[in-house]
Amino acid sequence: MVEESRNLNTDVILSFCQNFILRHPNPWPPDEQALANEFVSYFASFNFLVISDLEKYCTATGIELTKKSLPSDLLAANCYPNGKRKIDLNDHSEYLFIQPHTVLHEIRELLEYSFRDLGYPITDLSEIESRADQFASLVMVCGGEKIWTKLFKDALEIESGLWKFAAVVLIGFCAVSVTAHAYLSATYPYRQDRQSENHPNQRYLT
Amino acid sequence: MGRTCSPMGSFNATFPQLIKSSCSICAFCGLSTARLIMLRYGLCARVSDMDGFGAYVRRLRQSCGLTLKEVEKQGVASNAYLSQLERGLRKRPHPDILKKMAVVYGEPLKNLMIEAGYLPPETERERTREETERAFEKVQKDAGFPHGARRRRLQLSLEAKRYFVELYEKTTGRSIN
Repeated sequence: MVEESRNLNTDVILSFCQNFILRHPNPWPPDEQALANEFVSYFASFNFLVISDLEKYCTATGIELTKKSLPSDLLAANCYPNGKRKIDLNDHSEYLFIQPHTVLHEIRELLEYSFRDLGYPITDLSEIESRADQFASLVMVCGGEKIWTKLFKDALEIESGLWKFAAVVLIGFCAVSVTAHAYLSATYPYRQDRQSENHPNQRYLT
Repeated sequence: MGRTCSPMGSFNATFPQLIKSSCSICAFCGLSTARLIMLRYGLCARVSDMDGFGAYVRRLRQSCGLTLKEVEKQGVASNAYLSQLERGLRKRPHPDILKKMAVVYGEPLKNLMIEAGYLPPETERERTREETERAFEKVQKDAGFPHGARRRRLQLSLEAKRYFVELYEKTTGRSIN
């Protein structure tokens, strides 16, 4: 019980940022690959590929994640007032399949606020969007790697050659699909914007 | 003249009463059974809401010195329809009719659209936009409220700015005047 309440009182995200700064002092600022790798290994108990696990992650780390109807040009929004972290996620069906990527994008922005609090900003605000997209894709790929490696190992233990081959092909296909999805999710809002420029009626009118 | 209906009397009738007692489209008010049912269940505006618009279009017509028949000849709508509209017995006309009225009465279409309720009053719309823009600037300047969004476009829409202002007020407990 004591242990539990101590965990609840600890700012896990701030702890992660402190830990990261200690482990990666040089070169500073680090690249997103290093941050994504650390993030996945620090929070190893979560699967960052599915939204339900990301919801659990947010609950565990004190991030208030709410799915709601947002203005249609927003996929999600975050804020960090008085040390309280909050993410509002657009529940529009159009954005459903990129929700994990979007939540990770917002988490990256929340991490940046904590790095700033600690006096170690990684990036300035003009670059935060592209870096958050990069981070989200890398976390999905790194998080997926763990799963695919384990599945490959299990598949290799199958005795029948044909079934082993089929399993390896299937897992390989899933791995490639998830990786492609992670990278395509990063560019989705920009592709949508380009499409809507060609079709003005699709644009959100103010 | 056939049996007439009383739209406002029927307005408070229950669904079975409406079915039982309603007339078909009668010569007096032109309200159909379907319309009465829609009125009863709040699916469309009450005809009396259009009284103001009716008086407005009548003033426009009279200021042009036109009779209903003359307006009809110019292809706006039938004089019976225009008469009902001016008496507040018709719901707001389709924008196509408003376009024709704008030409005949020499009134800007925007004014007709505002009066008919298709557009909010200009002053109200401008004030809301300006206020939102000003409030959003304050939100952006507040260093104690770091915030961000993943968005489809580089420029935030007015709705998105309004959302951030509301989020700011809700999470910080401070209000922006």
